[in-house]
Amino acid sequence: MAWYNKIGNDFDTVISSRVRFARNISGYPFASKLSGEGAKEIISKVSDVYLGEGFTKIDFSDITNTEAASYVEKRYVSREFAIKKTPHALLMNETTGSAIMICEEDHIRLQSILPGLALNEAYKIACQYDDLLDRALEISYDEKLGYLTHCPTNLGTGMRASVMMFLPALTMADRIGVLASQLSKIGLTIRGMYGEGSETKGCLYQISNQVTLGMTEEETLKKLSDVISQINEQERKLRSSIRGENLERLRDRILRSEGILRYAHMMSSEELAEHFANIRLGIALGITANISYAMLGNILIETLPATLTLSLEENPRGEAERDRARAEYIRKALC
Amino acid sequence: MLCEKCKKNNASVFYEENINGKGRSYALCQTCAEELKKSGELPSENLFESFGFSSPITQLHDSLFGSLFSLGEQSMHLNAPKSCSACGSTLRDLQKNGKAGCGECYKTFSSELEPTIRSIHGNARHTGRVPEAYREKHARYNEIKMLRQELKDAISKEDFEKAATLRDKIKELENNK
Repeated sequence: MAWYNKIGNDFDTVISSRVRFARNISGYPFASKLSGEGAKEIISKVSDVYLGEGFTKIDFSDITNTEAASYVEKRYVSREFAIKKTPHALLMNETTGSAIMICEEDHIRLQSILPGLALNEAYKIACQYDDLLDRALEISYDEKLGYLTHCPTNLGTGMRASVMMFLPALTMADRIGVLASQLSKIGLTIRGMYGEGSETKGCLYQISNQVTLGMTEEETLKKLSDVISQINEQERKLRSSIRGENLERLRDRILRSEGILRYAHMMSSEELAEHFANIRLGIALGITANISYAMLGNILIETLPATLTLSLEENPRGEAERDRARAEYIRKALC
Repeated sequence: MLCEKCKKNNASVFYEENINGKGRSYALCQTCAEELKKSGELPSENLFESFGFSSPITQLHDSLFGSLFSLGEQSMHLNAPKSCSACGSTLRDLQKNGKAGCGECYKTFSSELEPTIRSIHGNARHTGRVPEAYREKHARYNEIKMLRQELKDAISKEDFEKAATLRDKIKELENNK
């Protein structure tokens, strides 16, 4: 079962936790200087390490643009990876929530994603797969700089740990800007759901570490966890401070969103993002009792443009058809 | 939050830059982000546009990143003929791309890159996971580091007997390289 169909710890505020390692194989230049042949060799070597471990290989040269975009929507690969023209492949193990991008910016980007707040668990899984790699191949490493990466911003541990948070109350109170500047001072960063530059749709934010050199993985995870628990506290406090008329207005907004999702026949992704945020908050506050987190999480991912297109028998002709198909998917899912 | 460019619309597109270790985040509205894209600063990417994703601000982010290696230009002798023996990259290439050509580049240009790396991370010494092949060496490095601290403490407490033992131990570990 995919990560977005499961629920996890602190699920009222945390959607998912992810840990990824950037690794390169010694003896090969980094991506910008790597030949097509070199890339194919790397794909073959890395695949050999993992194919007996419950991973499936997806060669991105063999799939359509829609399929590639769907992997981005499900957060298994980066946009940069999906649009690469040179050979690149993905290894997936949905049971452990692990995805390994081969020949992205670094030769290997190994990530583990779990629902809810589960940074340490995701880290353990990533380490387990990193050990397999370490035993089988010579990894580019320097005693002083740690794991050598294409971009100097990943040197050291090569680890990026991120937590996707759902922060409607902080968004409504216009506190995200302040939070962003506070986080940047302590080497953390906050951005939209799909990484750098993406829109902050549906009050979903990704908080991750910026610094990778000079701090151990455990120290980084501890720092991130501490901050997440502080943000959690602020968000919950704000949510519980909504009372009286404001609470009535919020209840009205949440239940209207539920009504729209249950009966609408056209639904754009942008509109869904807004209703998603309302209903998710409604579940947390006990206002929308008939919709579960799992139902909503599934709707959010399965109705994203490329993933939705893939689930249809015929490719939708234009946006209107897709919006109709999205509304239909949602109505059925909420039945 | 209002768009930083037009100061009229609500910002819906966010990105960050990190130059010389100083982080700054920007917030733009969709219209201003689109304008940047049209002016060529943000090349559009058809695959994602066809699925209604927001414009790939990452491109802008990358070009800002390109200046990462431009830091400490004075100390980076740009005219130096030095090039990486493994991949042929020159310092100029690294500066242009903001990225290394291969793992060897970090050794070849270590002195030129150190200030940049230090400014990005505030540190230039790795601590954390180590590949198996390096584990023993790494453990020895950590032990020497710990013993040096103990030696310093012993000297400050005028415990010279202990200091002498520690000094011998450090020497022995260092000779074992």
